[in-house]
Amino acid sequence: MMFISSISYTASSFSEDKGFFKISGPDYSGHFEKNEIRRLSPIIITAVGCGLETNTNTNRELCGIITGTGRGCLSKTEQFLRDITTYKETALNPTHFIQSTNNTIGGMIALKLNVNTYNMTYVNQGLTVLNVLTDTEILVKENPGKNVLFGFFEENTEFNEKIHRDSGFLFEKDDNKIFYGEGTSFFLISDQKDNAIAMISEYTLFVNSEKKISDDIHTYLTNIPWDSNSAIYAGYNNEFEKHHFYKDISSFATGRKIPEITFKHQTGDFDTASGHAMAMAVDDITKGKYNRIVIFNHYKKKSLHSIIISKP
Amino acid sequence: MFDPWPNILSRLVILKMGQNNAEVWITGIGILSALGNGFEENWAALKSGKSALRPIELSGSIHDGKFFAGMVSLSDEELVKQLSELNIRYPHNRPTLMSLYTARQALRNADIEMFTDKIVLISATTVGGISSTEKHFDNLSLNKTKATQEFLSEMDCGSISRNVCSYLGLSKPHYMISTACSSSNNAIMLGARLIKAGKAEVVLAGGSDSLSKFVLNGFHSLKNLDPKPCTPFDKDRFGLNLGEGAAYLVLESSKHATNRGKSSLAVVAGYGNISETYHITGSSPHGMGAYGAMSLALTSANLNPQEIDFIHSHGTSTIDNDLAESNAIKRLFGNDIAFGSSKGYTGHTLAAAGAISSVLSIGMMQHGFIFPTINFRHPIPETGLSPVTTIKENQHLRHIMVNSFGFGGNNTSLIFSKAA
Repeated sequence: MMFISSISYTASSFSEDKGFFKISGPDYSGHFEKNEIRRLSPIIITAVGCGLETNTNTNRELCGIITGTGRGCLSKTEQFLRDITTYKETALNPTHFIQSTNNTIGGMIALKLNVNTYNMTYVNQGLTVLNVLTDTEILVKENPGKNVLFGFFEENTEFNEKIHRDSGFLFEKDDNKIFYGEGTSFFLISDQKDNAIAMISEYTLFVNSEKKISDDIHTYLTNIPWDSNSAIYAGYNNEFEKHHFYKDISSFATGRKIPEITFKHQTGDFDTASGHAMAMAVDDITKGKYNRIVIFNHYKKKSLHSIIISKP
Repeated sequence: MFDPWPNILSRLVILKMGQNNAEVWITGIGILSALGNGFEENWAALKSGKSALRPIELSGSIHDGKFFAGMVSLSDEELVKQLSELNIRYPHNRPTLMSLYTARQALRNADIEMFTDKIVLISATTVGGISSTEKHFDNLSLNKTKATQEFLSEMDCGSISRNVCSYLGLSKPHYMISTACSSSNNAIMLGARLIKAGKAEVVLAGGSDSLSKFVLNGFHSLKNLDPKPCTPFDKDRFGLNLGEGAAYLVLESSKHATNRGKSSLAVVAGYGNISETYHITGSSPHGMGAYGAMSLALTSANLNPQEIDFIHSHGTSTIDNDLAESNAIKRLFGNDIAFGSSKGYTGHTLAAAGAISSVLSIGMMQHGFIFPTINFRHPIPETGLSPVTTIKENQHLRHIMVNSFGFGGNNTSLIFSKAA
C-alpha cells in the first residue's frame, strides 16, 4: 500500500501572451541561495523547491528520489542549442548543458537534502507517471517504514508549443482548443499509515485499442465500489475530446450521478498531467470533499490510464 | 577536512531482492558499437585488442575531425535497410534505429518472437533525438517538410521506447530511463527488480545514444574531451572520447526460461544505485558514489569483494571520474583486483555505455577472456592502481562487476555471474 504523507504542487495561469498555461506559483526560491537563483533555470528552482518543500516536516528516513517528466528541462536544452548556433560552437557556457540534463532535478534534490539514496528519472511521454508509480511501489516494498520522494515536472516553451501545433496535437475543432501547459508536483510516500493524508489505491493502464478500451473501462468502472463520496477526475481538454476516449466514462458518471470533474482547464495539457491531477486529488481528499477520486487521463490519445486516490 | 567515509555505509539504502526467489537470467544480447555490428563483430574486434576510435565525423560541426570518437559504421539509411522487414514508415532519429537494430538482435538471440504481450521494454537515452533536432533547429520558422516535423516531434526520449514497442509489436507498458551516463545500467537494474517483484517475466533492457553537436559541445564546454585517443586510468589522462551505439539484453526469470527450455548466458546477481551528493556533474575525488554503488551491488548479490573476478569500470578517462573510481576500487577491493575500461575501444557511449559494457562482460565470462585496457602507461599516483593491460585468456570469471556513473551524482553498479 502506498500512503501519502505530504504533497506540494504548482498552480498555473493562462498566458494570453504566450497562448499556453504557465506556472504561476508558489514561490519556492526560499530553498535557494541568491547566486543559485541567478544561475538556475526557473523550472529547476520550481521543481527542486517543490520537492524540498514536500520533504519538510518529516521524521522518516528517505530511501529514494524518483522524478518523471515528458520533455525534461526544455528551456535550457533549447538555450544550449541556440548557443551552439549563435556562438558557432565556441566559448559555450556549460551551465546550460548541465541544466538541460533530465536527471538534474532529481540529482539536485539529493544534493540539497544530502541523502545518498536511490535516484531515478523517467522520461516517457504519457507513460511517465505510471513508470514512476511502478518504481515507487517496488521501492516502498523493498524498504518498509521508509519514505520515497517522487514527483513530476514539466515546462513549456514557444519552441515546444510550435512543435506540438505543427504535429497536429494542439488542434482546434468547432472552437474547441487544446492548450498546452506546465506544472510540477511532488509526493512523499511510504507503507506506513500514520500521518497519511491520502493513499494511492491502484493504477491501471488500459490496452491501446479503442474497442478493447471501451470494454475494459466498462468492466473497470463497474468493479469500483462507488459511494456518495466518490468522484471522477477526467483528463479531457474540451467537449470535442470528450467524445473520443472519455465518452464511456462520462456516460457512466452521468448514469451513476458521480461528479465528473475536469482539471486541464486549470493546467493545460502536458505529458505528466495525471501526476498533477494526483496532487489536486490529494488536496480535495484532505479538504474532505471526497473519499475516493478516480483519475482518468491519456496523452495524445495514447496510454489511457487511471489512478485511484483514496482517504487512508 | 571533510571525511565522508565514517557514516556513508549507514546511510546506504539497499535494494533488497524481492519476495520472488527466481533468479534473473540473461537469455539474449544485442549490440551495436564502433567495434562492430552485432555481438560476433564486437567480440572479434575486442579480442584483437585494437581500438575502434578514429577522428570524429560530424558534418556541419567546426569540431569535425578534431576529436577522437567511436562511430557506428552503419548509416541511418543502412540501418533502415537492415530493418527492412519491420517496414520503417517514417524517418526516425538515429537512437531509435540503433535501438530497434539491437533490440531485435537480442530477441532473436533469446529465441523470442516479436509481436508478443510478454515482454516489458526498458529503454534508456540521455538526449533522445537531439541529433536530429539540432539539424532542424534553425529553420523553425520556415515551411517544414513532413520529415522535419517528424524529427522535431520525436525529440523527446519517450519517442524511442514508443517506436521500438510499436515496430517490434510489444504491447506491455514500456519504460524510458534518462539518468545521464548511468541510464542503461539503471535500465538493467529496473528489469531485474521488475522480475524479482513479480511484475514481469521477460524484460528487454538497454539503451542507445548517437553522436550530436549538442553532446560534443556540451562535453567540450566542460573541458572533458581528449582530442587524442583516451587513456583510462593513466596518470596523464586528459579526457573522454565520445562514442555512439546501442545494446539490449533479454532478462528473464529463471522459471520462465527453464519452462521454455532456454539456458542462460549469465545471471544478474546484484545491483546498487546511489546519488553521490557531491556536485551536480563532477564526481568527488574520494569516489564516495562509486564506493557506495559497488558496496550496494555486493550486498544485494551477497558476495564479498574477494569474489569479484573483474571490474568492468566506468573508466571514462576524465581526470575526475578515473581518480574517484580508482580511489573507490582501492578502498573496497584493495590493490590486487583485476579491472579495466573498454572506453578506449568504443568511446563513451553515454546512455548505451552500461548496456554495452554488460554485453561485453557476458562475452568475457563465457570465453574466459579479459581485454587489455589500451593506452595505459602509468598508474594514477594517488592510488597506484593499474588496470589489466595484456590479453588474458582461459580465465575463470565467475562474477564481473559493471560500473556506470552519470551526471547528477547518479552511480550504478551491476554484478553478473557466470551461468551455472
